[in-house]
Amino acid sequence: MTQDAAMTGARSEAQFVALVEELAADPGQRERLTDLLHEDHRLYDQRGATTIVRMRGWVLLALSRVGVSDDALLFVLEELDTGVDAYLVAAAARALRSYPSPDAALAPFVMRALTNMRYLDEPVSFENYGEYAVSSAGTSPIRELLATLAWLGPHARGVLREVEAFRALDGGLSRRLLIDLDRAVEAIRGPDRIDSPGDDDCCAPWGGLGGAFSWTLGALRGPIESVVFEDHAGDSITFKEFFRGRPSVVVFFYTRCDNPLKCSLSITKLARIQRMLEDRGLADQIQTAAITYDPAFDLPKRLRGYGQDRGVRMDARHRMLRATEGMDALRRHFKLGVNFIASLVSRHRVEAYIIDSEGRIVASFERLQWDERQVVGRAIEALKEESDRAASAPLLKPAAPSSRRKTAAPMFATLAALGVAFFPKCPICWAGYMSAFGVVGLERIPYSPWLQPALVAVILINLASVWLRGRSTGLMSGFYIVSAGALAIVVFKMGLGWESATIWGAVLTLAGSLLSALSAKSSHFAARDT
Amino acid sequence: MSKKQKSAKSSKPSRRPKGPARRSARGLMSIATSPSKHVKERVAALEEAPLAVSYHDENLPEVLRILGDENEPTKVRLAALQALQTASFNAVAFAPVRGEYMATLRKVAKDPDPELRENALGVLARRKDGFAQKKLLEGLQDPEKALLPPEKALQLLSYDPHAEAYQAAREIVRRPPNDDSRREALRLLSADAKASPMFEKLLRDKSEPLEIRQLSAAALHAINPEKLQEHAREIVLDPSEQDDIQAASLAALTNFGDGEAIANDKALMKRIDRLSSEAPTTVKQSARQFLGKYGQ
Repeated sequence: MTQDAAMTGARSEAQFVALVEELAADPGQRERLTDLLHEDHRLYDQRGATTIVRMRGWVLLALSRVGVSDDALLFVLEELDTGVDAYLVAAAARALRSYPSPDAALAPFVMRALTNMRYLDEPVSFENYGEYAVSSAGTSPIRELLATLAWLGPHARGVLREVEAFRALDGGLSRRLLIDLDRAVEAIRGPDRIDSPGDDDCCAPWGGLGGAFSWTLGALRGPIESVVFEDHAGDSITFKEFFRGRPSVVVFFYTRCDNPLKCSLSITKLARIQRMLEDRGLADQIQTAAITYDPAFDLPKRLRGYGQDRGVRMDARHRMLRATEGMDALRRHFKLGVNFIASLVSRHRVEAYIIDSEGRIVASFERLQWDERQVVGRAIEALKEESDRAASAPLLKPAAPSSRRKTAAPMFATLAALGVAFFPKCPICWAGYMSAFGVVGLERIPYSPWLQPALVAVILINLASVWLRGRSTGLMSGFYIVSAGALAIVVFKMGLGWESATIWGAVLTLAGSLLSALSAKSSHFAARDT
Repeated sequence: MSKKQKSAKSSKPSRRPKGPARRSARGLMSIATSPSKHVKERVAALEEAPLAVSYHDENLPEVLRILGDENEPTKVRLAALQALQTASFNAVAFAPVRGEYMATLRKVAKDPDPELRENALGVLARRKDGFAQKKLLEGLQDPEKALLPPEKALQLLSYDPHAEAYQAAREIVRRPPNDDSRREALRLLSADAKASPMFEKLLRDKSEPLEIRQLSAAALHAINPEKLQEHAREIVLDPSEQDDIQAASLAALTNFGDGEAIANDKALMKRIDRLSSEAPTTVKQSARQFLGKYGQ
């Protein structure tokens, strides 16, 4: 079996284990181990949560043997930041110790995981794939985390006070773990191995995360505007209708999520974001949306209840949404880090986005828990950028292509219609024009039959233009009138030779073109008002 | 909760020592851990022990030992499990032995005694333990490996919607080993949004047992309430329907229906008006409740 074929979700767990071993053994393939940590990897498709825990845990353990790279580090930290599964947190803690060098910025993640797991500690087994510990003699997440703190040593001084407070808390740790904790404290207080001054500042931004703490700029990711949502009140709205016009903060969640550090916390934070926007008077200028991963189950009543329980503001600008059509387009647009078994979410990451008034993603906050102030700050920047753009648009650059097209098309059609109407179609016409503009050279511009193909070309161009506009506005009456006019010109002029009747064709062409142009304009205004 | 647990719980007050002087935690543990004492005495000591063990964690390892020891009488081990489970509610005090407790439960989950197995797996399943879920699923797929009967395994798996049990449950609905298993499989699937068509069919199938039809109505209410309303209306309009199902349908329309649509549904109103005077008591009562809300 080739590796590509092997990467599909159809593999058995035994084959998966073989693949992980193969990738870990080959230095040239190790980067692919990190690929296996993406939630939306095909390998996890249609697998349940506990199976995915086993599989991801095994990948993390493989990384702990071969060394965690910068690319893999984000996944390791994500597990420490938001994980509550004993096996995964323990594996992540172990994997972190294989990172090339301890760093002060890693310490807060270890500390957070220690706090999260304090009352959830249980034995885990790393001996064989899928094995569960039936004895407490082996390791556990707290043991692994304490070992990682010891590995960090003086680099964890930034969290020493928290570690000491953790130690002072009554209960929660067995005697054996207390010994491990004391060892870790000793290592943190130990001889200074830090080379560069300021490296023990745990809160300083750190480049090792590859920008995961900050936002990443994105572009429009494929067509999405037709996605249909139902909101918390049961009202339907499309992506375009809701997200176009204002920047938005978008958070993903689902009500059946059993990790309190993921969906529940994200929605609680969204409520805080809304309050921060209200305090700044921006609640009507920056929208918020919480979109469920589980639209089949998260019916409006459930969305409403989940939001209400977490203090979420819900109105026309702030909605909790489920996709009733186009869930796949939504997944593609946001490149959601989620996987499913049947309709149920089996694994997902934490993700929040800022999207601009065109529906494009301008910032994303993925995997690690985001800071509300940072999200609000970025959303305000997006709003400001758009205000600046709008203010400078007439001076600096032409209007957006879509609106340019909307303005140009009716103008072109009207000019084409006028061209047809006033095109000299017979010697009398020529005489008329010449008498109007002067008689000089009249005899030198005789009526020329070669102008007929040019006339037909102009008629066809006008017809095509009116047809295109009619299709976009849904109003075809202008096109039918112009068609009748064109037919009259061709039949009367070129077929029957009734010169005088040709004028009616010209009148119909002009009337149809004007009707088409005017209807396009009114349709544009109606859409804008909506 | 097993019958045994229920009976143990109900008999608890009578077994406690009377009088103001309660036995000390140390005294209780001494009785509970002594093989020379009578089983009843040891069980009674363990039933009283939880309050003590919460604050004396040195006793917890001893209770854990009893739970994990196959040579101890089953009743004493069950009492130890009950005591530990109660103590575990004090998460802070219990945390130092939590790991040991989980490991012991996993061991007991494979114990030869079925009651102990069921209780241990029950505790683990409620904690969404991966080990328990894996064992229960393996048992459903291969009866030779089953630690519990399928209906019990399904019941325990239903504690966690992420337990990847839907496929196994669907298989059991297709080929049920017994009626209880089928019922539990359907109960488990009532959280699966994709099971709506199956529940619609079951709800409308008059040959299905009443319990299954009622379960289907409840499932539809959870996963597809609009469909339930459609079927409830049709069931109420169908004179050949069972009384209990009509009563349940009337309750669904009364409590969860779209008031405006119902009030404008002349055929439905007429039918319910008739049921309120001519139907058997259960249906009549439900019809009157409906009319009390929507009638003029």
